[in-house]
Amino acid sequence: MSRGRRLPTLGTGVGREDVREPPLSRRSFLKSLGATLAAGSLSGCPGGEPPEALPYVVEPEAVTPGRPTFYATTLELAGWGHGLVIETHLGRPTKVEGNPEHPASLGATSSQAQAQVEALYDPARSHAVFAQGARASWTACAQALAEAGGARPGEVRVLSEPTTSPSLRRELARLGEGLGLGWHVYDPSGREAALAGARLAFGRALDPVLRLDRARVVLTLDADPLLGGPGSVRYAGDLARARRAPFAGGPPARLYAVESSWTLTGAHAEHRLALRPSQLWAAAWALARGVGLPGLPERALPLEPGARRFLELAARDLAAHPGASLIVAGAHAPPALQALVHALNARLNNIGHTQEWIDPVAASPEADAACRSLAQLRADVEAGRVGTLLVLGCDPLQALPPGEGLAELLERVPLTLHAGLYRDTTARRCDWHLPLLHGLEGWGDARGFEGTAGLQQPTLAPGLARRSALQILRLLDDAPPRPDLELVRGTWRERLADERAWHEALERGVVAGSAGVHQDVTPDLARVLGGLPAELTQAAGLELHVQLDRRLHDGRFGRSRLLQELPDPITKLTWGSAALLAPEDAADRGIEDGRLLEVSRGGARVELPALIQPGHPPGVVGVSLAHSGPPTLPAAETRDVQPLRRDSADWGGPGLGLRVLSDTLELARTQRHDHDAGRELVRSATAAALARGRGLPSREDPRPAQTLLGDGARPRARRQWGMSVDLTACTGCGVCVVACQTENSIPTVGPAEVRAGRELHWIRIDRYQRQGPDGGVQLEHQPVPCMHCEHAPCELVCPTGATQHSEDGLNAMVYNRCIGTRYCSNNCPYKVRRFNFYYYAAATPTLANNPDVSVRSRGVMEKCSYCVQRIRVAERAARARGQRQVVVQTACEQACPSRAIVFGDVGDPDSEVSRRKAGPLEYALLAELNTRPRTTYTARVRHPHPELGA
Amino acid sequence: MAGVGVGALALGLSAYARTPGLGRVVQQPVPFSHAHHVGSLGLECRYCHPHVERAPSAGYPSTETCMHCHHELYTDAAALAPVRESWRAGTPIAWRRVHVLPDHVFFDHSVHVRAGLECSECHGAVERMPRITQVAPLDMGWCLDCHRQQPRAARLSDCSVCHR
Repeated sequence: MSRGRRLPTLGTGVGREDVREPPLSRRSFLKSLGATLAAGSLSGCPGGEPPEALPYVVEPEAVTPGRPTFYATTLELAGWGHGLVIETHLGRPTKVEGNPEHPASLGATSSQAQAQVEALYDPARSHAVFAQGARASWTACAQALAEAGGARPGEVRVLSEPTTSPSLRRELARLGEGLGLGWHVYDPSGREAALAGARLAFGRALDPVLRLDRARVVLTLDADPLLGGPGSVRYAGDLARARRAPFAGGPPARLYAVESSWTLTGAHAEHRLALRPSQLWAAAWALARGVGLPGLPERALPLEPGARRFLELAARDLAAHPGASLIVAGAHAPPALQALVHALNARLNNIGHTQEWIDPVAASPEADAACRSLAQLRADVEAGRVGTLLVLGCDPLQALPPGEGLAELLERVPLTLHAGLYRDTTARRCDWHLPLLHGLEGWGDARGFEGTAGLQQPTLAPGLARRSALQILRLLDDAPPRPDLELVRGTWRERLADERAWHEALERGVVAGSAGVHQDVTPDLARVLGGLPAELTQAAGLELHVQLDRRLHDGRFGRSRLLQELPDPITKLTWGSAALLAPEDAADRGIEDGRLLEVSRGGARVELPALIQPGHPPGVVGVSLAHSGPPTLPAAETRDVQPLRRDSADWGGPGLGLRVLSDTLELARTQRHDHDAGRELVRSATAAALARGRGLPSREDPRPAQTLLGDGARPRARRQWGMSVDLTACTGCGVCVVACQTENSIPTVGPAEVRAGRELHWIRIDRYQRQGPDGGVQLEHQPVPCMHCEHAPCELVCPTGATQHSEDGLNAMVYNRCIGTRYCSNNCPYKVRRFNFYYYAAATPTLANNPDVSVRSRGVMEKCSYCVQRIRVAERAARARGQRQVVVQTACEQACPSRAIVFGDVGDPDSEVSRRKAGPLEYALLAELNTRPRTTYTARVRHPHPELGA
Repeated sequence: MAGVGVGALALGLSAYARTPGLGRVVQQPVPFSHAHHVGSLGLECRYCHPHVERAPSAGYPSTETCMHCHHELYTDAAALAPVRESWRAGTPIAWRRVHVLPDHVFFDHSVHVRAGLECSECHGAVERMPRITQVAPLDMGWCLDCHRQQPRAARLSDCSVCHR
């Protein structure tokens, strides 16, 4: 931070997103105090009327008040099935967990899945039918459709994103036959290029399934398999298994990343090469040359000598591991480049080993004869062949660049309808808007990235006038009303014929044996080579690089306050987006963090704040599709970068203009420094050193243990809780942060409060930069929850005894004793304590709160409790069953895709956490302070190439 | 003398403020009598509070539980009109809570019942109460006193057992 931190005063600089009460003067405070006292003495009952208790009329068998009920379900997020288990209390969902039975989850989740309960209760969700902006009814909509529908067949069209729901596809197919309905699909995440690449290589569209657990060497080419994709949760777990100690099957997998902006995979890689987007082809070419692809034409490669050497060594490393290496290209890279990568993987004998190919899971015009493209819709509208258009469950006006001409297209269709969760941009441009049910409210189904189908079952009774997509489709041909359950069961009539099979699939959340089957394919080398560009040139001037946002995807999750406030793993930016610049470029132009830039391309201009990110390639401006926010967010906080793209296949390239403006916008970042001041907070070792028997460099002996607390004077319970975080497995993705927030009802605070350093996350992920051995910038991530120190400095300084040590080793907060002195936070060397400056909880829908956790008020300190509510419930359950062992998973541990976090009883030598803590790589943060943290870290193990940077 | 009076009043008020429900008679939509149902008829507590052994909350009886008997007995008693209306309309009876704990207290009935504690130890002799009232202060000191006196009770030395 170049500028001093601005401390906002009460009532000034307050954005609408801030949760602050109106400014209160001393006079009005005294007045209201008097009024309160008077009211209190008049009513005569401090508690007022006792609260109501509303029992069931007929109590459902499955529900026990005070105990959660869990349902397995599958939610379609951005088109792909995510296997989940939903915790409900008295018929309302409060928490999302992963379904251990689902291959896309294995018990873990993505941040976006964690935010689904918030989405369900979002008060901004659409709740009524609107016609031309005025409230209307479903009957009126059916009438309007009946009047329009008498025309020629084939005039009714549906526009949607790719879907993996078999029931939705069945309903669309039925309409296709009966009504001649045309179904058009567009993909805002650019996956059509991946299908086209597979078609070019193999002659047909196929979906890849990566087997990272089998890989020893992996290279990504502007790809981020660890985050944001349909299989990322699984992939992060698979890769962690291939990389973490104790390396039973040889040395850990080595990861190379070649990319034009930071990806999470790049941050996790041993070696990373930052290139311009226009150099990506050259990089692929160099790899092909290094791997020895027969028939590869000679080209001059526009690469610096360092990059050339990097790629040569990487290619040699890949070639040395046939059948156990993998090259992954980004899903939106040019199809010809992706086809070349497929040919390389075939050459390396990886197909069928580290990479499998299955029939396309999602419906898409590239893969499916039933779907048509957006271009076809545009042509049909031009030709006047479209009478009615239903935009189903998506917001194409936001998700696609303006160059796609969606707005004009909608104007030219006589009757347009939009069905969605929100009255979004598209909804406001359509004649009708129909409110859609959330996936947690209705029946459905979806398939995961590797094909496994799962049933979606409602976890609460749908309210208000919303309907499911299945029901809305049945409006189109005025089909007799049938409940969703019946429609979904109809889809699965053959597969899940009897009642038992159906119930088993519901209970497990997956349909057994529905995974995709690997197709033994070989690429057609002649066709791949025929698709290669004639020459490789590096563009001059600045280039644009567009990414899907790591938290908000294509911007669709922008309404989620949880995801907006989740710091980006690379930049630590919350709320909104920025233009990423290399430090060299920024220095040349005199740009500092937060300076507003006018970025122009193809006649469009967008204002974005600058964010200087070491490791970002020079000559490239990186942006992400984080362009929307909750309706309460001030417009100045959101930046739409879509105008910079020509069309939906445009993910960057040359022709970028940059003008430095005079204004600045303070970035809402949660970490403003990049270095650990030489304190070695993230410790690491190389696999080679470990193999030679040299573990972590021995730590200096901590000074003679001095403490104000008497050693061993405290009574100790039988169980002693502790945690270990494996930094080799941790990718820094941030799922633990959101999982912790939803479990512990931690409110969001808004961008202005984040700028003031007042975010409330109980677990934060620190990220540090360091110089890698190859000269590149390396990022290191370190999740930091409360350390639950055995010698806790916070406990000594609390004047009211509000923070106490429990006999089982927890550092507990007693909110009702806390008077908010914040001495504890001042005395905490780890800075994990958070203070409620305002009544932030007011902004969270109360229905989403965990009933087992207190809602904290203003003026109270709070922090990680090791999910004490889960510990106490598990202890009582174990006692009721007469078991000695208590198994507890904290929320962060349960959600972590790479299983980096392990929690348990450190007093039991056989527990997993004890075994980890006994390992040679375990260390405590700031051990020299003699705080004896219960949370410890397993040092990161890297496996660098011996010649790269040696 | 006046000072003593004010002091006693303040003390009384503070004790009252700490346990607002003590001895309070709460108006209920149905004048349900524990004295009649438990004392005269001898109904078991768990008949109407079925979750007391396995959940933190003992549970309130559903309308169905009332109707088990009252679709045969006193079918036209005026006092039972809200029960019949609830059963007919499918809307819950809006009882008022008598024992109210603050939101930051997480009490678990099942632990206490499984430890062999009688309901009456905290709720008093409900079989003699035509209108149920709170007889124990239900404040923290009262919890701790009992846990200290009972040799078998957990020591409750950890705040996080009840507060989290």
